[in-house]
Amino acid sequence: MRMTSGSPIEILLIEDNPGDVELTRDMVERSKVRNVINNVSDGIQAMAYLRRTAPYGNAKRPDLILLDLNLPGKDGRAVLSEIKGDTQLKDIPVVVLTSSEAETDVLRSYQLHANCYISKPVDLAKFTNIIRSIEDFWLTVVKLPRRSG
Amino acid sequence: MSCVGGAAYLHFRPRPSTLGVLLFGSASLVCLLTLCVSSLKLSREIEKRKTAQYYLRLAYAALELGNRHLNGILESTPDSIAAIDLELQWVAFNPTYSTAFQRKYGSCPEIGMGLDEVLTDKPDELAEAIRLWRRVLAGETFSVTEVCKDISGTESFLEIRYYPITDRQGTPIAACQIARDISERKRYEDILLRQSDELRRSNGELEQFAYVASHDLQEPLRMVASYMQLLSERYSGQLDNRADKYIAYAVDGARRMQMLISDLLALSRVNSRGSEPAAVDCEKVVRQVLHDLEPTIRDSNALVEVGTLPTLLADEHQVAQLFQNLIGNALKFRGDRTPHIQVTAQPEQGHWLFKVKDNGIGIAPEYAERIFVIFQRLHSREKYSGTGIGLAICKKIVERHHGRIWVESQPGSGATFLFTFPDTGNQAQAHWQEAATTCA
Repeated sequence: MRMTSGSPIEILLIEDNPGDVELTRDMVERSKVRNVINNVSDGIQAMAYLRRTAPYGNAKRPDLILLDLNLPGKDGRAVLSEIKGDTQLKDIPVVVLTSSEAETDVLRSYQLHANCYISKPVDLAKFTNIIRSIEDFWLTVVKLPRRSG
Repeated sequence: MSCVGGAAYLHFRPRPSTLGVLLFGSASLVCLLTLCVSSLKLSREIEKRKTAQYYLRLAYAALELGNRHLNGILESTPDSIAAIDLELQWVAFNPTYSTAFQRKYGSCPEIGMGLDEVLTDKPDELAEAIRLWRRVLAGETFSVTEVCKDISGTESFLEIRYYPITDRQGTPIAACQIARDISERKRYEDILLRQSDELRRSNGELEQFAYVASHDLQEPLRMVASYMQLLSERYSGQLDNRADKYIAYAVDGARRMQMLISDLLALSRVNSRGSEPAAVDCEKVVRQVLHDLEPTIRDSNALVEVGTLPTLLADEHQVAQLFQNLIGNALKFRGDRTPHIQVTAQPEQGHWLFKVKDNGIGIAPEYAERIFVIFQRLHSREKYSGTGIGLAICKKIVERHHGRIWVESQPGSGATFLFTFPDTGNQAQAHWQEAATTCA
């Protein structure tokens, strides 16, 4: 649906594990949907990126956020809570993509208005499928709010 | 005396000569009669008194005996007991009281002395004691717990009960205090409290551990597994066969480790994630389990017989997990024969005995204990898959429900897994009735 706009989908990947960044980037970049993946590795950077404060003054507002819960310092839960509490940012869909299968994390994330919660499987094939599903759903199936700036 | 009166009467002979003599005689007679009657009355009075004295002596003896008993009780009790009157003067106390009093205040109470005479140099204690005693003397019954420090500085905990002593009309005439040293009880209570704190803390740590296992251990594991798989996908054929084999081993290892981690988590969740017990219809639960196992049952052509099963107070999800594991095992460890599985239950003294009987490969008696230990396997992974967690989870579930689980088996002749669940039938019934009433 977004493909008609011509500009690529902006994805912000908030993840501190370079292995995971590489994997996710690798899979998303093979997607049929044109996209740009930007990565920040902690909560402070994530909020600076989203609020376009230095050094992210020129950052583009993402269409989709992939968020890991366990980040160094300000963790993913705090980031989620800040995004969903900010009238400028709360309409950006946030996919919590994390290794945690703890029920408390799942519940807490939805209470903080995460748009969906996905736990990363060990199996690569399954992980590939999940990334593909995220692309399919969030980048082609759903209609996202119009980018405001 | 009555003999004297009687004699006087017998010696009197009236002479019929003159009126004067007659009159005199009459007067004398009246006098004598009066005397006689008085002396009779006197003698009766004296007799009465004697009897009264006799009874008084008896009563006194009984009273003394009673007093002796009471004193015996007062003197032998480890509780300290004292009574004071309306003037706040001691009317009674036992040795425990005077010893404790002396230890606390350094002076001795005495019968007839007032509180203010003994506690002259301790105005605060005196004021507090007076305040409490006045409450009892006003008719109140109550108890207080006091931390008592004696003159040597040793602390003890006292539970002191105050009772009014009343006359027949119920008006307080004195007050009584019974103090019990509860230091020992307090010490055990403190130990219990400390232990339950410790338990809470260790349970919290276990939860933390479960979280660490679920996230922090899985993440690096996922890295190993994912990149090994990526390596085999993207570079397969570019390396030699041996390299491909090594990669396959590494991937398999990582997958198994992931299974072990999630099994370990499942085991730790038996206690931490269990739900509150509710009425569970075991027959319904087993029917659902058999429905879930339908493909395996169909493929193996198994015959599963289910007897009459009770309704119990339990954690339904865990009961289902228990039957799922046991029936699943019976299907998995089948021999060459067509599987025949029987699920039955019978009431016994205070509990239900459940049996899951199969005609599978059986277990040698020497392994009967080992199979319930986490990750213990009796067969190679090639022959029978799985990590060896199923029975460890069964054991934990049964024990969480205060039951026992064991196996009776011989190799080649099938196995019977037996477990007990406390008989909560009545409570379950009551629960249902309560639920029904609420619905109505």
